[in-house]
Amino acid sequence: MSAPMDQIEEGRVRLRVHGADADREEDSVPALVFAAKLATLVRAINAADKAVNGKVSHEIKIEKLSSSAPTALLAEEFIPQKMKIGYASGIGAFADCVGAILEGRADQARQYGSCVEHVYRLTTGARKKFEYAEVWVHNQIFRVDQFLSERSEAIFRPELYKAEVQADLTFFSGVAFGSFDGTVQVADMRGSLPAIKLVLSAGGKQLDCICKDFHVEKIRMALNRRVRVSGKAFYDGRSGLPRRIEVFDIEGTSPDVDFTKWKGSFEQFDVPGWEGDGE
Amino acid sequence: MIHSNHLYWDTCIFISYLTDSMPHMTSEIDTYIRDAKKGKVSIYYSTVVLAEIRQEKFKSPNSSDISQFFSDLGSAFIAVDPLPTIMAPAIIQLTQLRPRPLNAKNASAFTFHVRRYSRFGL
Repeated sequence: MSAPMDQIEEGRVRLRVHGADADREEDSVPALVFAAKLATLVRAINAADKAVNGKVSHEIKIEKLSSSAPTALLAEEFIPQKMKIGYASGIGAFADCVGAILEGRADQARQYGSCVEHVYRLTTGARKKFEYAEVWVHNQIFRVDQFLSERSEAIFRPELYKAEVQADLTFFSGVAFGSFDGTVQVADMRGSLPAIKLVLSAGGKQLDCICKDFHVEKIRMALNRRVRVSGKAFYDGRSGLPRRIEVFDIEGTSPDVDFTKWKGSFEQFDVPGWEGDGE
Repeated sequence: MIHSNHLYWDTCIFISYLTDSMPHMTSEIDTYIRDAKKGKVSIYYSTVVLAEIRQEKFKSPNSSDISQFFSDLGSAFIAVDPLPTIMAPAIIQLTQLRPRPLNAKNASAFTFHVRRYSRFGL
């Protein structure tokens, strides 16, 4: 059973890569892919470190490696330098950069220099050479996948996205909390961020969802059932529906409800006016 | 009777049914509810409806019943959140509408929202 999200010490980052073959019991990841992703992660952290400190001020060292699900725990070590005190964590800056990328805060993400580009490169090969990777930083966890690829590329190469977005400016771009009624289909239970597909009751379109802090059993219970999913919805401005939902609640519905029993169950009332709301 | 597989119900429809204030309509509403249960129609409502149903008017003294009521509402019908993409341009449409009675005024905004959903496949 997948445990709720781990927390690791500050100044450390953990990378875990999941193999492309979801049917295999254990993750099988080519060594070259894992090594490339590890190197790219270090480059991204160094870029963020340089952006916030003026120069690379930490050395990233391997603290632990494990192979059951290819995982590396890295720690940053301050490089003593003369004439300067009060350095910011490069790993922390990397996490801030990824958070800004995911929420579409382009200007903030660009403050971390070439970190955005390295984050994009971290995602290349997702769903092909590997399914997805997880990066833990302190109490946050990021999914390195197609979604992060799109979000980072939109900042890294905005010219590719501008024309498409400008074709319809009415779509919202940003983050909003919301809930969606649909049927849970297809679940990838691997790792700390299980993924589900939600087929919307309204319209039948499919939404990509990831589940944070969820036990696998709760997701299994929801499979092929009509549910209401609540979470943080990421809109990319290219559609009226969110590109991804970070799920924080899944509420089941009952298929055999007889709503007619509630007929006449209220005394007379009118729709309350909203005019004085907030006064 | 309107023949459509997709229906949007505003708060006023729920109120008329829950308070049984329009007896000439209730049998028709009953039919729709039964059809929805059989999967013949889909009935949508805005989550704003949840805020407009006045719980203090609930007749049952048992407080757990109101929880069951809202649970059944969520199961029998399909709630739609007013998403940012729908809410942002809604004011443009609303300013073009002529003044209407209270219930219809509330209905107009969210009927419009659902029309906007047609762009997403509703």
